[in-house]
Parts: sequence; structure tokens; C-alpha cells
Amino acid sequence: MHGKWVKNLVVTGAVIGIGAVLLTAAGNPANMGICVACFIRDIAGALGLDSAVVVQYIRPEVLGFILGAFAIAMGTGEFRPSGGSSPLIRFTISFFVMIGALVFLGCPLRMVLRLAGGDLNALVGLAGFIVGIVPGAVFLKKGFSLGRAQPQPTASGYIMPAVALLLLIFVIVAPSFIKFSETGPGSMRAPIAIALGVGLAVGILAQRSRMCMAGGIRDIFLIRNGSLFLGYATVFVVVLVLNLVLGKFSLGFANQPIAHTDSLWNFLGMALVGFGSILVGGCPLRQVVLAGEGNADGAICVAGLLLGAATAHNFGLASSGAGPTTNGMIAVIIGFAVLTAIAVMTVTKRRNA
Amino acid sequence: MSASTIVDARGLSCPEPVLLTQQALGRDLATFTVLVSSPTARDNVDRLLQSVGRRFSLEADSEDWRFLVEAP
Repeated sequence: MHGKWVKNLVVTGAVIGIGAVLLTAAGNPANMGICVACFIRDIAGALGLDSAVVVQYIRPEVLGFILGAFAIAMGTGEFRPSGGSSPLIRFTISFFVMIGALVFLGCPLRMVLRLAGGDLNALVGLAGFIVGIVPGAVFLKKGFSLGRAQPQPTASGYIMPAVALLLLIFVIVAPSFIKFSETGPGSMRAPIAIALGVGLAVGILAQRSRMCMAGGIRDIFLIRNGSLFLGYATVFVVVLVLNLVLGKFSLGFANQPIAHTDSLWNFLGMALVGFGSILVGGCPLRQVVLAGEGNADGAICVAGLLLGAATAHNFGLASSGAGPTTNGMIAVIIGFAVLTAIAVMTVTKRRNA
Repeated sequence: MSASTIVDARGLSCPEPVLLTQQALGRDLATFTVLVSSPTARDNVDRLLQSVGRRFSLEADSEDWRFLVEAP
């Protein structure tokens, strides 16, 4: 069983890696073949939740993750609608995970893609991510828990796939009330069929393998098991090799695509992502996949990410190639304070219970 | 601890079911039962028990899974 799981993880990592390089070649922004945070942010823009005109597009990849996970979960009997484990806390933590990701400029998956493209700022981000996971893991060992999820009505599990289907119709039909960027990263997009195809494949495989970047590093600390980490290690190796072959590898800090060179805030942004991801039990990709397979707690996390993205752009919290903003720095510090307060109070409550 | 110790990890998210099972393994219990309610938790607990070489049997009902962990 263990061997089969490891094989699933490696296959998932390879498909994500090949898919990401393919999507970039087909039109997605550089080192952003797939980025769960950026793509949810683009969806927030397309729905008019913020007014950043350069990041508006309904990314079919995200819809594919949800629909792929939904389809395979239905097929394997793993579609089990559940939820109700501290929804408002999950929403709040995910909100700040998105803030951290947009200060760094990428989710854990894009961090790996950036690293495999030679972007050394992502190495700083990775260090921050790992350092952020440590307090999360310590709180977990001390008894941090968001409480039990309960079975939910079947209808609950159909909501996210239905929303994904609706958004898929919107991106294909392109009604006038949906905003699509004409310049900037939001205007750089692979054809819908390719984006959806890769998204579906990744959604199916990630559901089967439970692949998770935050979980992979967490398991090394908590249970001395590095298997889950193999998924992302495979993504890195595959993308690195493909970038070298295609001449897309460019080592350095400066002039990297959709990245800034402020190491402190690259580090702290990803540290916030790592801390928050551990507290909610998975990084953004994992939450999207959970949402697809009927998990309402995952869906609440996706909603938190969506509002976090809209807020980040409305209040000037997101970084740009020029660097982080003062508002963004303040928001990251608030994020650490809020997450720490939630973690401390939740551990204490359980001890007293 | 009695032989009837039950680790109820139903509804808990990653990695709590594994941590609770790990704690039970560290408590020198002869036998114990672990309850989980998600396929992910089932797989994770299964892998943990196999990795430490503990024998167990796995039962499923309509809602949950039940690991009956045998004496080491």
C-alpha cells in the first residue's frame, strides 16, 4: 500500500510539473503554469470582487481541480460530504494565507515552479515556508485542533462542483459581466481546453494521492516520514529538467518573472502561508481538492482565500515586481498576530476541556 | 490503561488522526481501537501502523473505519 501511494505521489508530481511547463508554453505567465493562489486571485478579479485590471480571468485550471477531484471521489466512493470543523476560523486563517501568498507572489506550488525556473527569491520563500510550518507543528503537538467535522447533507458536497461548472460556462461564454484582463498576467492564458485538461488531470491525481506541500514538510517534522514530500520533490525535478532542456532556466534574484527581490518579505510572506496552511490542515491546492470532493471545510478555506485575494488588491496589500507594499507588510504582521492568537486560544481551550 | 482504549479520531483533519494514533502507540497499550471517518485518515493511520510494524485489522461500517490494533 505504501509503495502504491508513493507511486501515486510521484505520478501526480510529474503530471503537475509537465502540465505547468505545458501551460506556460501555451500562454500562462512565466513560472506560473499553475499557481493556486494567483489563479484564485484572478477569479476574484474576474468576478469583480476587486478592481485590479491586470489580474482578471476565470482560470479553468482551478475549475479542473475541483471537477476532477469531484469526479474521481464520486467514482471511488470517497465523495462524503462533511464539514463544520471551526468554519469561521478556517475562513480567517485562509484569508491570511492568501495575504502571505500575495506578498510573496505565489502559493507553495508556484514557489516550487519559481525555484525550478532558477528564481532564488523562491528559495528565500521556501526557507520562510519551512520556518512557518514549525510553530504550526508545535501547536499541533500541544493539542491544537479545529474540532471534528460532521457528515453534511449530500447537497453540501454538490455546491462547489456546481459553482465550478457555472464558472466554466462563464469562461467559455464570456458574458459581459465577467471581467477579463487585456494586459498583465491576467491576459496571459493558455487555451481553455488545455487549462481545463491539465486542471482535471491534476485534480484527479491530487485527490488520489492527497498530495500536499505543507503536509509533506509537516510529516517530516511530526512523524519523521518524508513520503508525502516526494510529490513536490518530483514537481521540482521535472520542471527543472524541462526548463533546462527548453532554455527557460535563469538563475538569480533579479529580473525574475512576476517576482520581487525583497528577501525579508518573501520570507515572511511564505512563513505566514506555512503557518496558516498547517493550522487548516493543508496548503491551497489541497483545500481546493478537498472542496471538490465534498469537504465543506475545504470549501470554506477556498472562500477565505477568495476574499483574502480581493482584499489584498482592494487595499494594496499584494506585492508587485517592484516589491512589497507598506500595507502588505502591516497585513502580514497582523496575520501572524491573528494566527498566533487563534492557535494559543485553541490549544488552551482543549487543555481545559 | 485497559484493553478497551478507543482513540476517536472521527472528523478530525490532517494530521490529528495520525498524531493521536502515535500518542496511543507511545502509551504502551496492549491493544487499542482507532476510529476514523475519512478515507485520507484511514490511509494515513494504516500507513503509520504498518511503518511501526504493528499488526491490526480494519473494519468498515457505513460511516466510519475501525482499526483494531493488536498487542505488539
